[in-house]
Amino acid sequence: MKTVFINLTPKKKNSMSGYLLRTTKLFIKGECVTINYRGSADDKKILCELENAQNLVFVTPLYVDGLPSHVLELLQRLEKTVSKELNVYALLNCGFYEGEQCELALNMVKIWCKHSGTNFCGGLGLGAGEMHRVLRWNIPVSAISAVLGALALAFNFHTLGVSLLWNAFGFIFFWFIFSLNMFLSAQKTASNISKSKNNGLCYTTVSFCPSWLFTILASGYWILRAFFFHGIPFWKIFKRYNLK
Amino acid sequence: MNEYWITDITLDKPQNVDMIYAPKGVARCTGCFGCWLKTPSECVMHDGKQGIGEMLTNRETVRIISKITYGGFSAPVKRVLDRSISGVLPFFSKRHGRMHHAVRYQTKPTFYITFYDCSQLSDEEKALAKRAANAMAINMNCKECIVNFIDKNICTLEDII
Ligand SMILES: Cc1cc2nc3c(=O)[nH]c(=O)nc-3n(C[C@H](O)[C@H](O)[C@H](O)COP(=O)(O)O)c2cc1C
Repeated sequence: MKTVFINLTPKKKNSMSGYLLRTTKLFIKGECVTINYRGSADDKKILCELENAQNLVFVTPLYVDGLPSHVLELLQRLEKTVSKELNVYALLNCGFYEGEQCELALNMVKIWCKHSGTNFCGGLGLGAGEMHRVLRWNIPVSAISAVLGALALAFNFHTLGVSLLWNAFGFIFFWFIFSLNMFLSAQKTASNISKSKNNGLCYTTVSFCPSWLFTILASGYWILRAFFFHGIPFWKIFKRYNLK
Repeated sequence: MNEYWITDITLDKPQNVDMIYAPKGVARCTGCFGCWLKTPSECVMHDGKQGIGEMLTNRETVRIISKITYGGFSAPVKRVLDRSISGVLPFFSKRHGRMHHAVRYQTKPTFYITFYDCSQLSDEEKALAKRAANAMAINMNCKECIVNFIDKNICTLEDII
């Protein structure tokens, strides 16, 4: 059984689609190929890989309640050329809290399958994409904290060492707890893909994080990111375009 | 000007309307969020279209004329819409029971959306297009979103208004 994953995020690195793709791939049995789509020049590669594949998985972010425009363009080109035997899955991730917001885009892939004659096998809609993406940084932060904690203990700075180790544990703990739903859904979807079974439309979001907490964390994240990466203070985020 | 049109078909521009012909000269969103964080309210790609977000959210009337592609907007029109999130804020508000973005402008535009070339399409595809159009309009803080379908594969100003 061969599965071809196409990563459709426009981001060159550190994308949520890439993270979701790799997580799902961990649980796939059988041959797996990933193509990072960058433009129409990749069409040939895609068609070539699809020649002896059974499963095709589109992994894409949700843009303005639909598929991003470059994904539509790719789908239009593939529509006439793909093999009708393919089982097609879609892994969507969106920025908002509710994974259900991906439903429209998942159904667009379903309609593409009808046009192309391929077999739509459902997919996954993951909410809080940006939050999942950023939470990954907890892993290196935790590792650094653990190393520093161990060093501190070795040099007999006992209190500092213990607090750094607790810090390391906290970062890993929250990464794991918040991402649990994603891991479970990726595992379930992957097991269906491995068997070419219908996955239905499944939706999930961050675990153990109610939407009010998501709102606070995500808003704080935007404020910090604007300030530390671009030097834009909080109040300038609200600028109006026509009032320069 | 208080009216803004996005079309994927060549039309004579009515007076007092800002119109964007989507298939020409619109760069593709790279998903960088620069329009929220780096140069708030405008896209970081200065191709003359960096103000699309304001046009979509700060006008009384927004009219979109599009073919249906897989139960949604056509790729060229979608390319314009993908460039328009600068019209809202990165923060959140709940509308219609779901999370959406907080608004940058208090204007509540009325969206008129015309899908043409619908004669060959299934009801499922048309229904999905209607829902996708509504969802987009709610995301952009619309007052109302009116969707209509035209069977003809070409449309003129008379068909639309
Ligand atoms: C232009 C644009 C439009 C977006 N529209 C939506 C949207 O309508 N709903 C939503 O929940 N997220 C939306 N998002 C957020 C993305 O889906 C989210 O950040 C996703 O995790 C990005 O995935 P990636 O890192 O793989 O590109 C949008 C992002 C961009 C850049």
